[in-house]
Amino acid sequence: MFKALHLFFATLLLGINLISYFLLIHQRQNPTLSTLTLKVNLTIDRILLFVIGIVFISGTLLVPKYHLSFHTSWINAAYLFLSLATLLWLANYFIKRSIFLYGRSKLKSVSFHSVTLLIALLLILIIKDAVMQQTWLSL
Amino acid sequence: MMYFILKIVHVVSASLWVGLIFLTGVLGYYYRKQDQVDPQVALQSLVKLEIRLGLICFLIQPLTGFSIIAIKQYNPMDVWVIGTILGYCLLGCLWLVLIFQQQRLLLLLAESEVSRNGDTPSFPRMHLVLLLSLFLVVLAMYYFMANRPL
Repeated sequence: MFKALHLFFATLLLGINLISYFLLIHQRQNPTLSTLTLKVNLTIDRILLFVIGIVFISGTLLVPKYHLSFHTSWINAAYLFLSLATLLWLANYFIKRSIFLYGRSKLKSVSFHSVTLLIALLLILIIKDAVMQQTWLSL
Repeated sequence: MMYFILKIVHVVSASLWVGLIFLTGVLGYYYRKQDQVDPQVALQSLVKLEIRLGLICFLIQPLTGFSIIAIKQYNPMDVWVIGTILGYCLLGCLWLVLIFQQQRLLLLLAESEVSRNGDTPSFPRMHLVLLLSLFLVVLAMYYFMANRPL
């Protein structure tokens, strides 16, 4: 059951990150609507930080269960990428909050786009490593 | 190599679909309750994205899924294979009902016969039941795939 929950919450993280990004782009012609969506997004982001914690804990519990080692390179890479994704998620939260409170600027827009896509890339790399059970990083 | 690519595409498209349904539920509820934007405009933009993106992700699933079954030569009579295929069909039916409910709500909002505070109490309850059912079926499918024989 832990594995199913781990997979569910991990895929939910990636899904929400990308879909909220696509939705904000889709609604950019309507500033009032996109501000509203951003407000809901900020609340969801706060909840998702707990979900990231659940993914960390469930992943840690799965390692001994499946007779893996914490020294396995792809597992170390997964921890590293998820930690980076968490930090970027926090950064993205503050960027979105700044856009919501003080309006957009070119720098904030560029930061939002690049950080969101970087988070998605990190999560997809974790999925790729877990599927292939190997990583390109030498850890 | 093909197996790994298909599996990654399968997982990513499933993630997008799950995220889409979650956000549709949360935002759909919030858009109906707020008063800064016309709920019909807000819901229409959400439903448009849901149908376009959701359909693409939903169609990728069986293509990649059956390809993986063929490549790995899984027994199609295995419990987990039958469970996931049945789960997928059930998800499709539930999702179609959800889209139908959303279209009906948009029609009523367009005709301005419904007040924002819910002259149609069945809509929130039906939506909640549908969304919960969707997530339960998704969890069941995740359980089957996570516990398949290696």
